[in-house]
Amino acid sequence: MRRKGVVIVLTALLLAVGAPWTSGAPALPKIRVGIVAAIDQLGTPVALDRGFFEKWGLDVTIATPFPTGVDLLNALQAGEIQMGQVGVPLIGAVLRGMDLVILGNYSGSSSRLGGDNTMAVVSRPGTNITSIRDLRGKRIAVSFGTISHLYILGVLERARLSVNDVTLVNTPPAEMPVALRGGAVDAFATWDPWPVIALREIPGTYEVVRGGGFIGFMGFIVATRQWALQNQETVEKFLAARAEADQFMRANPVKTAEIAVRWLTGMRPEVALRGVRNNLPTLDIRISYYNYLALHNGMTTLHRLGFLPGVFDVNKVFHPEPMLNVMRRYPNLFSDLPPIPPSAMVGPGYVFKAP
Amino acid sequence: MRQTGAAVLRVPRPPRRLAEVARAVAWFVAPFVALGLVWTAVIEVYDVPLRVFPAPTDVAGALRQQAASGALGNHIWQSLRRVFVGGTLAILTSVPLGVAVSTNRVVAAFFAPILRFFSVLAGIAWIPLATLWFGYGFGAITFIIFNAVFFVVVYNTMLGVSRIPLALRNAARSLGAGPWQILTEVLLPGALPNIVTGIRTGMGFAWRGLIAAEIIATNAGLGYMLFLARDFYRTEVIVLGMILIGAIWVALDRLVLAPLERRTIERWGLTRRVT
Repeated sequence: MRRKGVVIVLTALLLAVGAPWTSGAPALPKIRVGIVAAIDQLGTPVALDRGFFEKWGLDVTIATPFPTGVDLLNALQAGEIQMGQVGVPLIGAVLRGMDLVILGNYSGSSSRLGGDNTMAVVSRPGTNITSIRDLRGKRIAVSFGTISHLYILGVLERARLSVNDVTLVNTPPAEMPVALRGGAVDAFATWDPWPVIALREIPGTYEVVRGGGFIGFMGFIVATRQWALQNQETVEKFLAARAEADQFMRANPVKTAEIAVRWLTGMRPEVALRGVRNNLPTLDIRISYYNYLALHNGMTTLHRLGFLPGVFDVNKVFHPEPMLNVMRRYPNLFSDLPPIPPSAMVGPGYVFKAP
Repeated sequence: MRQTGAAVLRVPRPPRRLAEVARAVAWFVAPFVALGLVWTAVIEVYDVPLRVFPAPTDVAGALRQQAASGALGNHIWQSLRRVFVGGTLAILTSVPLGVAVSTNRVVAAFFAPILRFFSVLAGIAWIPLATLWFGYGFGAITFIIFNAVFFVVVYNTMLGVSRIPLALRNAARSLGAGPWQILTEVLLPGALPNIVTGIRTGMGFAWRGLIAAEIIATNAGLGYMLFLARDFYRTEVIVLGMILIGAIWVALDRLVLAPLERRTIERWGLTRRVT
């Protein structure tokens, strides 16, 4: 009888104070993040896979990879995700009133105007294309209105060719290797893994050029302004975890490729590894003048070509403060990256001026 | 040998007066006007942002802008050209094949399920193979349109020929008609109502297939215009494209295909206009 009484008292005490193993630790902030199925978007899956989000105090889930950036932004607007990784489609969304902020880069460079290593121009035997100057008179597949379009324009400009010197064929990236194999085009320009897949699947195929710094790459980590301002601490934790994931990927391409195979359905391990290696120089989450410039240049080019109905001041979309806080507090996360030139550093209240 | 068709049901059809035509046009236009009014009201009342859906004035602005730049005319021309070439090739090849196959009832019975099977594989399903075989551009899209029309017309031609009473063919033969006369004065006229119905159905498939193919495999055309606008949230261009796709099809159907079908049925089918 006495033993039973002790048990009841202990149980009551436990209920009163709360069981430490069930509710003592505060619940981690939950966020759902969107990515597009591409090799340069792996930072977030790697952070989840390696437990970096948990380590930095976040409970992150990743939505099923979206087919395009537009689909991702639609999900962000609908509240299905709180953060996402997106490139060129961001411009159209902002122009049409979506209040987005750029918090970091999933792919690009803050130490120079470049970071286009994930892009390549690929050709096949018999085209006599050995350098970018040989593109004159050739049929080249690109996806109009995307970063691949901007990339080929940058390539042509460097080769001192005009758009009228070549025939650009609008082609979805996944169809480009097929178009090249079938002879419909002489070359294509797009992002990994499609160049890597073509090299592997089509005998004799070769890269005319890989990266090259022809354009400033645009691959941004974004959120709605309202959510980002209301969740400043969560944003900083996310960026820190992502920065750690980038650092891990730079040091461990093989393990990264293993994670890529799990997240990007149907990708062969060797393709993933080569794509990951190509992409390593673009893993720079920091924000600098060069990222402002990349967005400004890309947007004005697309506007000039008639794809965009207008332009906007890029200062209104960059929200670098959380990233700057992470860079200041945790410099070790960026110790293996090239330093940002002093002239390109941004600070609180920074205002970009177009050259 | 000019009289064909199993039975003739004479349907009186007096000449239409202007008032009747006006009334018919009004009934046709009224639903679209109502739709436009609801559209305008919803945009005004709920203050829908342009990113989500455009106002009619935005679409009108896009129409002006696209027309002024010359892009719109090019898109429409490219789409119509592909439909015309692909559709014509399909009709020229499918009708003779349909007649040839269906002159033997056993062969016709054998091929009917296959043709029926392929006739529902509308153009869209052929896109991956078309781009693989013909590359990107005119060839692939023409092939897709060809497929959309070809199988439907072959199947309908077979159906039309098989419905011609055997007694009619035998009568023609007993009157001394040779194979060419049988073909041109019995089989083709007798099957024509079905052939034209097949063409109308097939062109509907072709139009849908065209838009889908243009999204993937070309640099110009209404489907391309619509899909490219999506990437930049240009909803006014998207809706403009949708309106044009629908309007052009309605115009083609009502001004060309439906009258053709009606007159064919009146001339060669079971009904005939009283003269």
